[in-house]
Amino acid sequence: MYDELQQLDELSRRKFIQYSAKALLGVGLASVGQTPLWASQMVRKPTAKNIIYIYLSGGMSHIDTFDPKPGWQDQGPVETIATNVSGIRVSEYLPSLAKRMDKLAIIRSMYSNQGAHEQGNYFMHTSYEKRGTIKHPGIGAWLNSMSGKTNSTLPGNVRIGGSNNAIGGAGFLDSKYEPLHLGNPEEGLPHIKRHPSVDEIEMQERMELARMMDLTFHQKYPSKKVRAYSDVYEEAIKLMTSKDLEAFDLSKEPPLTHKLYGDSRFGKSCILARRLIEHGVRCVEVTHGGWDTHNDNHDNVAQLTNPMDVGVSALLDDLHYRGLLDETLVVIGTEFGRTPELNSNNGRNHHPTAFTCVLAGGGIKGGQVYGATDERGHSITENGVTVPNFNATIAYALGLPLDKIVYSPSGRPFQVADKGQPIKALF
Amino acid sequence: MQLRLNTTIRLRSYLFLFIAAPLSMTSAVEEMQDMEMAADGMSAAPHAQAGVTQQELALFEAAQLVMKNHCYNCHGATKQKGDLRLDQEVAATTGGESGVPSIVPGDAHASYVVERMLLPREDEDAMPPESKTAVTEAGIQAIVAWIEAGAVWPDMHALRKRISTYVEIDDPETEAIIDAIDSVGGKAEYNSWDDPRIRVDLSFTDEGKLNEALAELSKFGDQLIWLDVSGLDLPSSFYADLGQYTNLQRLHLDRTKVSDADLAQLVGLKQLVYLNLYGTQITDAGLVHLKQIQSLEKVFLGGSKVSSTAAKQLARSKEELVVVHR
Repeated sequence: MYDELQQLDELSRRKFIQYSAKALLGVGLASVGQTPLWASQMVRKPTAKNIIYIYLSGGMSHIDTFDPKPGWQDQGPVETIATNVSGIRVSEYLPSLAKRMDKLAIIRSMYSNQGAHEQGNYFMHTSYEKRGTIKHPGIGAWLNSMSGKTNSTLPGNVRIGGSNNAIGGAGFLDSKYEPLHLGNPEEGLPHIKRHPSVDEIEMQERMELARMMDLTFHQKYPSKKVRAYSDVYEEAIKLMTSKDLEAFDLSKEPPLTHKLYGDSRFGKSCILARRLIEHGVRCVEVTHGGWDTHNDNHDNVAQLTNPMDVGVSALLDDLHYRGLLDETLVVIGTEFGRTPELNSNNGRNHHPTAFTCVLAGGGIKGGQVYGATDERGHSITENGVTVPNFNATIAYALGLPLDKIVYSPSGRPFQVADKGQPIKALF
Repeated sequence: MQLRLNTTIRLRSYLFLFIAAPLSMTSAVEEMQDMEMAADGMSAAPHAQAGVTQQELALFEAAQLVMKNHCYNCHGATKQKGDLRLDQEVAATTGGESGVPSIVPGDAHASYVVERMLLPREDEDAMPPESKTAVTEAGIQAIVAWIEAGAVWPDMHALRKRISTYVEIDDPETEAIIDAIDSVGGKAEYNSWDDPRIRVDLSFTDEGKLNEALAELSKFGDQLIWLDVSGLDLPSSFYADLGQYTNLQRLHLDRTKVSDADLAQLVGLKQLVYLNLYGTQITDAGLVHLKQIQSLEKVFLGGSKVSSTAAKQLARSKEELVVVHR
């Protein structure tokens, strides 16, 4: 209710945009008697221009991390600890993040209707249910297609870790918004050097020849996919000679940075994410996998949380000191939570009924908890947040138009976060 | 075009590299094209209207909502009872078996569809048939209002435009500056989709193009609210010119060679809220100027030459001020 009330004051801020709904309101009401759904009240000045999305694939156990239930019989051997914000407690697996709670907004009332990994992951990334007939874009593709790149040589959308077969990539948008995938953060950008046997002149000749050979094909099929294909060549060549390539080189960071972010691959990925954001990459997603703790839940969660706790803490500090946290939204997302009850293998099963996600930076007001679950973390007791609403909040922070209808090539209408509404209490 | 093809082997490898992939894409491309054409076909209306008013659109949609629920099951794409289709302009205005036009634009009383709807429910010609749900009073009114107003059928293009409430900020002068900055590797964009103020990031400007970019930048004047010039080797004139950006709220000078004296030029920025001096050579002496910027809320001094005592003193000088220093 609170949110809906907050949305009411925003119409007064229109200046340049011509608000067609204004004319409609009168007519629409008189003839049909219903408020037009398209009357947008959702855009405001953005606080973030970049996003670092930390995706915990497999389904993070909410009750062993950000939503602990000390009185619950199946909480297991994990204690709760105080944070630097009084009244907010988290699990002892997150000692460093607890000290940075003033920067975090924990959403404890996420829910989804997708209980399988792939479908849940897809829903989290796109706000749409997985369908056979269409591929929906993820937030990085939306951001880059609507606002464009900052650095014209580097890709605008990068994904570190996880599989190459990205969920929530470019979807039906132009293929050029597909994220660049880097398997190992320490290997830098592979295949970026010119082959030693090919000199500069020969390289240019080859490109020229390729252009000549492709010319008739391009004229015959002037479609998006073909264009994107030749764009890739051009961008790759531009990148090969760019000074921004050093963004991918983690050895440029002092030993202290490496120490602060931790020795894990996830930590390295966070350093790379920060470097890329500094170099004008707008969206970096870091995948941290293995959260599907059906067996030995507590041992596994403890091992998984450690690199995340250290890495994300260092990332937040680093962004903060560099003055970048204000304009960089940091998201911790996962496809679902895990059951309050331990199974016979001391594990927890999938639990989309309630789970936790975290936002920080990018205009988000830190030190708050939004929503709550019951005494065992099973059901939501207040302020439930759907996946589209969560994604709408992200898009809202980035200044994207939530109710802009974008058509797929097949003519079907889509929106950044489906019909999600941003949670304004978080800002 | 100059080409040096020495051996056929080389040619073959070229062919393999650049031709194989496009060929394998052909079928996918055709599929895409089909889809794009289908989409375009939808927007190409039988006779495009120059301008459909918002009112006409609203009337059309209200009427369509009713007709979709009550008419199209039997007189639509799948079934055409009595040879009648109502979901298409041409068919509906010609009529079916009876030869009487179902819809006469501008005249609801002459429109057969209205006549049949207004018949008593028990009449055997009443539409929808007695066994089906009757159209409500309000529903009939919606159809009548639409027909009376000329029964305008907007084309797909108008409908699409209508659904999206956003008319993108389309100021040709601003667009020209944005494009010019873009062409030298910088990035200028509107603050958000409903806000015409401008954010500019010049930190990735192409080498040697900085002065060009700065010249373009000055055209924004008071439209500029964010400026990022981090890591750049800025000419001293840059600081002297800063005063013209009277609405500047956020300024990134991190990793630049900004000097203590240069900061004096910032005093005129009455809206400045955020100032990033991370990794600069600023010393305690430069902070004097910052104290004069009343609007300042956040200053980043990490990695600079400022002492922690001076940073703390700056933070104490104003209640609202957050100084980040390490």
